[in-house]
Amino acid sequence: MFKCLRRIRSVSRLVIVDGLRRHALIGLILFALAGETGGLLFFDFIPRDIGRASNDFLFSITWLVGFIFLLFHAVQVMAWDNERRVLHTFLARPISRAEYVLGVFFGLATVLLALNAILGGIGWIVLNFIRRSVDASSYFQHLSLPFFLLASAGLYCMELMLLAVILFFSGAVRGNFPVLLLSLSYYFICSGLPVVRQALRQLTAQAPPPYLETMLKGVTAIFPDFSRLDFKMLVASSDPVPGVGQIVIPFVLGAMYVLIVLWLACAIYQRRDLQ
Amino acid sequence: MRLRSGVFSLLITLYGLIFLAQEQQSQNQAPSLQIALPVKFQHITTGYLYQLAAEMLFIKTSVFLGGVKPGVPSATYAKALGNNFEVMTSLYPRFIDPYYFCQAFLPHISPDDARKTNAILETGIKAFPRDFIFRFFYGTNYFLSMNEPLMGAKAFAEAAKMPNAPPLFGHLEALLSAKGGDIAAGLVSLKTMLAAESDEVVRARYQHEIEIFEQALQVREALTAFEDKHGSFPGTLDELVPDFIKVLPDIKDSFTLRYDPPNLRLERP
Repeated sequence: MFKCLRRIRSVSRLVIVDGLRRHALIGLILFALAGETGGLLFFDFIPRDIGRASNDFLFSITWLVGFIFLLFHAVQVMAWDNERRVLHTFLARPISRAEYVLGVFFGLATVLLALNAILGGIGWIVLNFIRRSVDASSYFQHLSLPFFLLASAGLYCMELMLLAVILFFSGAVRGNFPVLLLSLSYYFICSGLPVVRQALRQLTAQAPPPYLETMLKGVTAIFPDFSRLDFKMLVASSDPVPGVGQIVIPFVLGAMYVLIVLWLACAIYQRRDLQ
Repeated sequence: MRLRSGVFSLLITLYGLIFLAQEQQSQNQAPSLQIALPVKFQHITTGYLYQLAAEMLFIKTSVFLGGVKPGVPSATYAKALGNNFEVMTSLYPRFIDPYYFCQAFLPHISPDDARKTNAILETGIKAFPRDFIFRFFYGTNYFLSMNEPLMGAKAFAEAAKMPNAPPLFGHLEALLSAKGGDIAAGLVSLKTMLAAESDEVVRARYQHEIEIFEQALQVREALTAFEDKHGSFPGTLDELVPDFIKVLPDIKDSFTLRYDPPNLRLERP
C-alpha cells in the first residue's frame, strides 16, 4: 500500500513539474492578474452593490482560470503522454495503469490547488483593498473570511469533479480534442439540467409526470448540479446562510462523485488499448 | 522587392482608410441597446459565472443609458431596456443596482413600462422582503405612472404591515385609497395611524385629515342613498342638497373633493 502511494506520488510529481514547465501555473496567474486589474475598472460602473460585484468578479476570474487549466492543460496531459510514448516508459516500470491515472489526477489537483490558493490569496487582498477604498458602511458592509474559504472550497470541489470527468473521458476516448468536446458538453449539461428541471416545474401547472421527474433526477446524479457548491454569494452579502446540511452534503456528494468517477476512469484505463 | 513593398504600403493605407471610414460611420450612428438573451439560456451558458453575466449586462445597459443623446425618444429603447432589466434581475435577484436604475429610467416612459417595472420590482421584493425602498417604488409607480391609486393603496397597505415600517406607508395608503374613491378604507388607515402616533404635531395633522375624510364619507353615504332612491347617481353633488345632505362640506386647502359619477374622490390639490 505504501509503495503504491509512493508510485502515485512520483507520477504526481512528474505531472506537477511538467505543468510548471509548461507555464500552466505562472501563465494563468499572470492572466488572472491582468483580468483582476481590468476588473478594478469594472467596479467603477457598479454604483451600490460594490462588495457583491467585486467578490463575484474575483471568484469568476478564479473559476475561469481553473476552467482554462482544466480544458487546455488537463485535457491534454494523458494524450501527450500517450503521443510522446512517455506512458509506455511509465508503464514499463512496476506501476499499474490505475496508479498512473491516480498519479495524474493528484498531480493536476495539486497544481489546481496551488493556482486556487494563490488566486484566492490575491483575491482576498484585492477585496480588502476595494473595501477600504469605498464607504464600506454603505457599499461594502459584509466581508466574511469563513465564507470566502467555504466558497473557495466549493469552487475547488467543482474543479476536482470536472477533473475526474476529464480523466474518465481521457481514458475512454483517444485524442485530446474529443476529450475537450466531451468535457465541454458534460459541463453544459450540468449547467443546463437544473434549468430544465425548474422550467418543467414552472411549465406544468400540476406536478410534472413522475417518470420524467425521476428520470431527470437520475440524470442529475450523473451530471451534478454544480450550483449547489456555489457559495460565493455568502462572502460579501447578508444573504440568508444555508443550513449545515446544505453546506456539508454537497461536499460529501462531490467527494464521493470524484471517487466513483476516478474508479471508473481507472477501470476503463486498465482495458484501454494503448496503440 | 520594391513592388512588394509598394503593394504592402498600399494595403496598409487602404486598411487605414477603410478603418477610419468605419469609425466615422459608427460615430454617426445612434447608440443602440441590444435585447439580452433569455434568462434560461444565460443560466445554461454561463454556469458558475451567471452573477457576473448579470453584472456585465447591468454595466452594458447603464453605459447605454449614460450615452443616450438628448432628444432620442425613450420609447425607442424601452422594450430592450425592460427586457434587459428583467433578465439581469431574474438571473441574479439579489443584485440591487438594477432595481434602482430600472426605477430611475423605465416607469416614466409609459404605463406599460411602469407595469414592467413593477414586475421587476416584485422580483426585488421577493429577494429583499424587508426592503422599504423597493416597496416605496412599487407603490408609487401605481399612482404616478399607471394612474391606479387603489393598487398603489394596496401595495402600501402591505408595506405598512411590515415590522418597523415608516408611517409614510400607512399615510400613503390612506391618501391613495381616498384618491381612488375608497374613502372608507383611507379613513380606517388614518385612524389606525392616529392610534399608533405619539407626536402631538403629527397627531393633530392626522386628526384634521380624519375630519375631512369623515365629511367626504358623509357625501359618499348621501350618494349611495340617492342611488338607492332614484336608481342612478346624481349628475352633480348639488343635487344631494337638502334631501340627502344638509350642506356640502367645504373641503379645501389640503384636499379637494372630486366627483366623477359614480366615483367620489378625495385628492391632494
